[in-house]
Amino acid sequence: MNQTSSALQIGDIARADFRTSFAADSENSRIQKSLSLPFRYQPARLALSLSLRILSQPSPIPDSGGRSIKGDTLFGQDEADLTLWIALIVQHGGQSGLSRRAFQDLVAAHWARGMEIFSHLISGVTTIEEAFTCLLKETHSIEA
Amino acid sequence: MSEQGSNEKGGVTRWLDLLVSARHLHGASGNRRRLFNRFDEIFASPVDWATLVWSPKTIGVPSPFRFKRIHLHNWKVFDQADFDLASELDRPVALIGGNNGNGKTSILEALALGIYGIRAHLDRSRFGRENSDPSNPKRSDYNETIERAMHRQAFERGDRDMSVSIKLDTEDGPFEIERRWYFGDDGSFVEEDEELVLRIGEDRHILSPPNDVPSADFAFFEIERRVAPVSLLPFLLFDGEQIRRLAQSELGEQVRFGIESALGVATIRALLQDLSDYARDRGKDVIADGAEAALSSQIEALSVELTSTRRALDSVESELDPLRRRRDEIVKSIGSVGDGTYQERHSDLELRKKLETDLQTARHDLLVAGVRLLPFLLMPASLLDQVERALEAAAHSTNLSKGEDVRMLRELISALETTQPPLPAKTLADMARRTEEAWKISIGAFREAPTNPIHGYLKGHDARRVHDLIEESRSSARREIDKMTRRIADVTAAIAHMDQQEEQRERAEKDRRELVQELDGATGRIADLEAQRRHLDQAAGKLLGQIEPLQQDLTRRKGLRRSIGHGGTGADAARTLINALHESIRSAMPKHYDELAIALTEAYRSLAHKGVVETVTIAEDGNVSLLDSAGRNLRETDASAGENQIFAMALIAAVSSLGGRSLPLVIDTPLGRLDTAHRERVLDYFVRRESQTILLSQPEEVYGQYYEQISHRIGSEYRLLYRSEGGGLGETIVEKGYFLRKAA
Repeated sequence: MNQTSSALQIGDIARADFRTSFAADSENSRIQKSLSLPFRYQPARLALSLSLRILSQPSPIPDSGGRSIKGDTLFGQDEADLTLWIALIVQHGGQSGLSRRAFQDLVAAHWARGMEIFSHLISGVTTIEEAFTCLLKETHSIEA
Repeated sequence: MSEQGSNEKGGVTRWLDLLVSARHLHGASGNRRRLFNRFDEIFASPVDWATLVWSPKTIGVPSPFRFKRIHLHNWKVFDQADFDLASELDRPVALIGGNNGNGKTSILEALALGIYGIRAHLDRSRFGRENSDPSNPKRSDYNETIERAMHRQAFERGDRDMSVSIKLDTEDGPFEIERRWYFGDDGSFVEEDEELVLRIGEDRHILSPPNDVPSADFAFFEIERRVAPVSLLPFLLFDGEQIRRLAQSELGEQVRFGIESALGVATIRALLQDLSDYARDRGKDVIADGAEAALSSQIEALSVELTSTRRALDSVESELDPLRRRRDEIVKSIGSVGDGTYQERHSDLELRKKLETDLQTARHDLLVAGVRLLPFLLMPASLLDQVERALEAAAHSTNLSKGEDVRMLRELISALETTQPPLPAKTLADMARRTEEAWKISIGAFREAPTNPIHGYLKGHDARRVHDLIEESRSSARREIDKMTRRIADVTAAIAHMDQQEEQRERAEKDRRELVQELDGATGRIADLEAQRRHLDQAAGKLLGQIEPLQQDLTRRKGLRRSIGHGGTGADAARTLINALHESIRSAMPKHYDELAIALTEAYRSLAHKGVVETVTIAEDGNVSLLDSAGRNLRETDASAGENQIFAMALIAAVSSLGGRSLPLVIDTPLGRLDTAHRERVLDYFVRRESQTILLSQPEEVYGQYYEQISHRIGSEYRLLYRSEGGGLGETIVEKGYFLRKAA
C-alpha cells in the first residue's frame, strides 16, 4: 500500500487498497461462503455499517493480515457511492485533516469490529433473507 | 295338471301323475312317512306297474317369452328395485352392471325363487349352485333361504314381508307372477306364509284354480306351461360358477344332463329316488346277500373319500372367498389412489423449476439491494443526519465557489432595467444599489457557513449528487427491502406447498406400490387355490362317477332279489315301476340326441375360438364326438379339444334353443373366466340371439370395446350402486344407465 500522510482525496481512496485483520477477513470469507454471496465487499460493507452504528471509535486492528480490496470495489465504482461512504466514515470519526493512511486504518478497524457483530448476529443462518431479517431486527432495536 | 305320460293309453299314466303329485305334496318335508303312506295307497291299486311307461314332454312346448318388468321389495340388498326391461324387438339385451356384492346374484335368485318358489329349490340339479346337499333338498333349507333373503334394514324398521314381482310377455299375452313371503317377529318363515298371485292379460285378471285342483299344483302347472319347465332353470338363469361346475363333467354327462333337463327327466329321476327309498323302507326285512355287502362296502369307502374331498374343497373355497374379496377391494383402492397424469406431473415439475429460478432471482435482487440499502437502516439516524447536512452545505458552497453568485446578481439587475414602462434612471440606479446590498447580505450568510473542514475532500466534487443519493436511499431502504423479503417469502411458501404435494403424491405412490404388490400375492394365491379346486372338483366328479353305477347295481340286485322272494307288496310294485321308468328313460333319451347335436354344433362353432370342430355328434350311448372337416374325432387326438367351458356354454345355448323356442337367458358375470378372444365371441353369440338376454355384469367385465360391441342391441341399462348407511348395514340402489366408464 502506498502510505503517505497527504490530505484525503476521493481519487486516492478509490485506488487505495483496504485490508482488515486476518481473523476478520477469515470471518468475512466464511460468511460470504455460508450465505452464498458472490463478492467479498458485500459482507464487508454490512460489517462497516454495523460498526458505524456504535458511537465510540473502533480499536485499531492487531494485524493487517487480511487480503486487500480496492477502494472503488469496497465502496462502489460510482463516485457518489464512494464519496458517501467516505463521508459517513469521516463524519463518524469527527477528525479533520484525516490522512489517507489514517482513513485506511479507520476502515480496517470498523471492518474488524463490524465483522465481529455481524458474525454474532447471523450465527446459524444460511440464507441471505434470514441474515437480512436478523440485521433488520437489529435496526428495530436501534430505532427502539 | 302335469303332462307326464299324457299321451299314454289305457289310463295308466294317471297313476304316474298321482305319484308325482304325491311327491310334490309331501316329498319336501323332512318326515317322509306321509309320502310313503300315500305311496302305499297308490300301490295297493290293482295296476300292472310293468306296463306303465313314461314318455317325455315334446321338446318345444315352452313358448318364447320375455321379461318385461321385475320388481323387488325388501329382497336381500334391495329395499326397492325396479327393472323395466321392455324394449324394442331388435334390442333384446338388458345390461345390469354392479360390483361384486352389490346384488347381481340376488337378482338371479329373485327370478328363480320368484317364478318357481320352492320348486326351484327342490328341483335344483346336481349342477345347481346351492350349498346344501343337492341330492336331498329339504323344505327347511328353502325356508332358511327365504329367511336370509329378507332385507335386514327393512326388518329392523318393522317390515314383515318381502316380495318379487315378475311381469312377462308370453305367447298367451301378459303374465304376471307375484310371490310374497311373510315373516314372524323373530324373522321366521313358514310354508303357509307364502302367497302366490298369478295375473294374466292386459287387465291383470287373477288366475284361479278349478275347484278340484290344489292351488299350488295348479299355479306350478300354469307357470311351467306359460314360462318353462322348472327343469330348464339351469338353462335360463345361470352364472359363471354354474358353467364351471357343468364344464367339469365329461362331455357325455353334460349332454345327458342337458337332455334330461330339456325333457323334464329330473322330475321322474326325483320320483325314482323316492320310490327307491320307499321300496327299501318297505322291504327292510330282506337281508342283503354277500354281493350286496361287498357293493355296500365299496360305496361306503368311496363315499368316505368323497366326503373328505368335499371337505378339502370346502376348505379351499373358504380361503378363496376372502382372498377374492380382498383382491376386489385392492383393485378398487388402486383405482382411487390416483398418481396424477403424466401431463400434470410434467407441468408441476416445470412450475417447481420456475419457482426455484424465481427464488434465486429474488435472492440475488435482495442481496444487491440489501448490500446497497441496509447500511442506511443499520447506521444511526444521527450520523446520517449529520452527513446529510454536511453534504447539503458542501453542495451550496460548491455553487458559490464557482462564481455563480455574481452572475445571478447581474441577471437580477438587468431584469429591473427592462420593466415597462421604463423606470427613471435615478430610480433604477437606486433600486440596483439596494438590490446589490440585500444580495450581499444574503450571500454573506452562506459564506459564513462553509463546508465542514473534516469533509475537505469534497472540494471540487459534486456534493449535490451525493446528498441526493443519501436522501433517496434513506427514504426507500425499508420499503425496498421489505418488498423483496416478502417476495422471497411468497416464492418459498409456494415451493414448500409444492413439496408438500409432491410428498403426498409420493406417499400415495408408495401405497399404490404396496397394494400392487399385495395384489400380485393375492392373485398368485387365488390362481393356486383355483388350481387346487379344479383338481378336487375333478376328483369329486370322478368319485361320484364311480359311486353311481355301483349304487345302481346294488339297487338292481336288491330289487331283483326282493321281487323273487316277496310278491304283492308296495315295495315290489315300486321296484317294478322303477325298472319300467328306467327303461322308458333309457329308450326315450337317444331319440333327441340328433336334434341336440345339431343345435350344439351351431352353438359350439359360434362360441369356440379354435375353428377346427366341424360337427358335434352324440352316439346312442350318449358319447360325444367333436369331428373335424375330415370326420376325425378330435377328442381322440387332442386332449384339450372341447374347451370344456365353451362346450358347457354351447350346451346351455343349445338346450335353450331346442325346438326353435329360443328362451331368454339371464347370465350373471358371463365373461369373468374367459380370455379376450372368447369374450368377444361369447358376447357376440349371446347378443345376436333373437330372444332376450339379461346380462348381469361387473363394470370391469363389459366395458369399452365389449360395451361398444353390444351397444346396438341393448334395450335397457341399469347399474347397481351400494350405499353404506354406517354400522355395517347398507343397501343397493338401482339407477338407470350403465357405468360411465363404459366409454373409457
